[in-house]
Amino acid sequence: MNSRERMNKAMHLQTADRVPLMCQLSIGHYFLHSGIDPIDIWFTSEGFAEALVRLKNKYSFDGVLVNLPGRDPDYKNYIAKIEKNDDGSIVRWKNGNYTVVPKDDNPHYYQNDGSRYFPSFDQINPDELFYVEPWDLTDITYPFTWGFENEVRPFDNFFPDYHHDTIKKVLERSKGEFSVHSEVFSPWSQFLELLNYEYALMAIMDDPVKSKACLERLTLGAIALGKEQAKCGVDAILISSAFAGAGLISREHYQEFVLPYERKIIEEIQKDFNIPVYTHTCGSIGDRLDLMMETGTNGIDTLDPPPLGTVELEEAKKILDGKVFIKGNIDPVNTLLQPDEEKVRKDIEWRLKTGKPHGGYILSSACSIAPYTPPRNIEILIELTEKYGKYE
Amino acid sequence: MNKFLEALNSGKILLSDGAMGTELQKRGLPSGACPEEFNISHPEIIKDIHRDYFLAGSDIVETNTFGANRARLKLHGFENRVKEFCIAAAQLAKSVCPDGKFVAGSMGPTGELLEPLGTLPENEAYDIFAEQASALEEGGVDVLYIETMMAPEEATTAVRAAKENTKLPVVASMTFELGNAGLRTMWGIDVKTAAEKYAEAGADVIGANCGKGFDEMIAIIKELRPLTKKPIIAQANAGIPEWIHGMSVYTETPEVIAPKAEELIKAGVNIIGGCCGTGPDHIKKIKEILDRQ
Amino acid sequence: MTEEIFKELSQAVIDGNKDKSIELTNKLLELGIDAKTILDFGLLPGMDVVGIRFRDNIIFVPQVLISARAMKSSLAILEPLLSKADLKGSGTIIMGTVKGDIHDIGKNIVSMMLRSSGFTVIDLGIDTKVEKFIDAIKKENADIVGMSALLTTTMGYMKVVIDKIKEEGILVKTMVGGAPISKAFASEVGADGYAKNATDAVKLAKQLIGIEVKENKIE
Repeated sequence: MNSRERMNKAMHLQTADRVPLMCQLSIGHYFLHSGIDPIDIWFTSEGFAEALVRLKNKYSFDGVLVNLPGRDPDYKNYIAKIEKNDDGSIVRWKNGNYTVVPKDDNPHYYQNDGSRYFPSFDQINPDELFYVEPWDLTDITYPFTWGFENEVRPFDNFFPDYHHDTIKKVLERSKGEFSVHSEVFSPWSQFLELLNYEYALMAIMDDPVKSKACLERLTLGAIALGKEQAKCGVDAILISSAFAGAGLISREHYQEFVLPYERKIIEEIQKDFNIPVYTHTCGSIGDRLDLMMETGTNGIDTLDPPPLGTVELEEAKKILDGKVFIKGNIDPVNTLLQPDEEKVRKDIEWRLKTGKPHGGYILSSACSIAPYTPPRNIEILIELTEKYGKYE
Repeated sequence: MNKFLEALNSGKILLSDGAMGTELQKRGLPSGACPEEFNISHPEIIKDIHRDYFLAGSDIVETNTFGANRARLKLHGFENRVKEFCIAAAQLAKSVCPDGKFVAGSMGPTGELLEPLGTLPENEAYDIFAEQASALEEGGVDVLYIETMMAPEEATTAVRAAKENTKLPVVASMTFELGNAGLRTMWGIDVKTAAEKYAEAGADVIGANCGKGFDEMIAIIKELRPLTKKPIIAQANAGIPEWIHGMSVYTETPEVIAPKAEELIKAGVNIIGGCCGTGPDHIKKIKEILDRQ
Repeated sequence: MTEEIFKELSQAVIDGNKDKSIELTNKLLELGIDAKTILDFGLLPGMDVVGIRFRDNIIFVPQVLISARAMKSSLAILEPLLSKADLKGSGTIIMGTVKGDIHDIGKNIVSMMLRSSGFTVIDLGIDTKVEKFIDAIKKENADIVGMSALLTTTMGYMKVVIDKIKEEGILVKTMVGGAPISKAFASEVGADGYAKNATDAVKLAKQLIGIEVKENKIE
């Protein structure tokens, strides 16, 4: 049984030869440990595809999540100069703006005065929204344009050709051997990124009607993107819904501003494509697993355990078993980041034993694996999965 | 039917957990501190201990509430936090309890003497146990363990309070010692009287816990088995503690107790576990024996 | 009658009704009530309720944000009328997310809650380097430094700041928080305190400078 088949079994709530293993790594971890220049990882489709596959191999993961968009192959034409320093590098663009590329963390794009651009809620006309890509090279723009493009693209051809390059390159390398997942941002995440978190959260209190009009538009973009990714041949699509936990919003707001839109995305994608769509929400979601299931999601990723979040795997298993697959919930901070190998071994052993019964479980870190996580701690995951994760 | 009783009636021997107190001390409970307060201030430690026992193979773990009754908590000034501690403890254990396994609400003695020998009126003792039992039920435990009882009045009062104020099955055990008059509790109750009193009060499972180790426990169970048709529980200490380098250390290692546990099982127990000084490694050993049977 | 208006003002803050909050603040001023009284008996009690409801998961971040906005609008009217002593009632706190961390929603909420409890808060913003912390502590003669981090890559920088404070022998208390931060981590880096949410942060800040904290419970 190959990795892709193993993952497919788990995502369809079945047992395979063993529990599959697939963690999401932080961008900083790729920067530090893939042996590829951070500039190439962040700015090129080829660089990120190579980093994804290299570390998947190093850690024997059964799948990868392509969680950055493909990049404009001509990005170098916009660079004025690159400055290197102890912390990483700064890419100065010809338009006067710059990107800070830390050696160990996600890069960010700044205006020439050092600020980040955000449109105000008043400025927004919902009809001009379609999809907001938080990791686009030039950060948030409004109306949304890609990279250094100035023209707003028509919605029926909104995503540039290069947008799926990374996915395609990873699929080429996989040749059906390992599972390849792509990512779309939940309308709620897009809305928060577009306005900056605080302003978006106030917007839903000030003008819920307009906020919902925005979310409806952003849902259309997410559906279009998901379908294009599915057409490329990905094995599953992850809806990144980081801000929908109890750390930020109530169950009622979840029902109002998150649930209907994510449900729509899942419905629409699955009308045309028979692939799993699953959801990634950080932090405290123990109080809303039922609502997350109402979105029709096929799986729940992360499940941050206390103290980071509120979900113990034993509880989640009781609620979710046989309904949606579970991917998680190793504590990336209090377990994996720590140098205590014995604790890592113990934590992984009980998660495997708890998650394994009846299938439908993928061993994974809850949130992404931190940049400075000792590679040794990740390498032992496969050893333990082979030891405790085998089905009879 | 209650799932716990169902499992018990299936004929399978259920494996309980080992000690809570000694595990807490290993993980930093200062001497003299209130162990039950750890349910609030150190929930991760409590869950960690439960998890270790489930991983070792326990079918049942006991909540960290042995002393979570009004009378005992008063020593720490926490007499008004019975409900809080018990609910928290039950929820912590439930949150790490895998499907098909159980959480038992632990209830120990008040530490006071009942009238007429002492000053605690029986109806007050009843209220004390009723309060704890109800809170544990509210927190979601599957069964109540009334344990380490020595005085007959207190023991039966606890069982009655638990039976009359909750819908939960009740497991009740006393602590016996071998003396000149045979096996007796500190209050002079012999095994036969204990069994009768507990049965009369309505306990669903009866037995013994704590004491001087596995050898003595075998003797107790051999004496008890012919006396009752009820299922029997046995949770022995890992021997007698010895004072080594300023710390009390229980001397019976998992290897030492293994053959004794086997004998205990042969003597006819239905629930087997450990008490003071036993840890996950002891439980793992007993699990291996049970798996072989 | 004024008592009613105070109650309404507190309610306006709780509801996050900015316009109402401004209107009632002006009304009280017209009635000749002094600014400090309006702050103490109208605005602060409202934010207290907000803080407790937030801690107890009755309300969430959006509601807190609009309450703070209402509070801030009223405070803007009162500020010119308040003496320095009125404003500096509970001490001065320097706040910042540490170097490399550009996430600030958590820190902003903590800052708002602290301000609403009478602290003077100097918010250094995101991506704050050690020198900036040290300069601000000295310049403002701060009582407390609060640091937050959301990223695991940046949490280690808290130790750099705390070490520098100790090295320079500055008498200031330190408190830390943020998603990946735990109590254990806080003591490891030598912080004086850790708070897991904004309401606890206020309680902690008060404890650190020796103000008695009473437990509030709201039904």
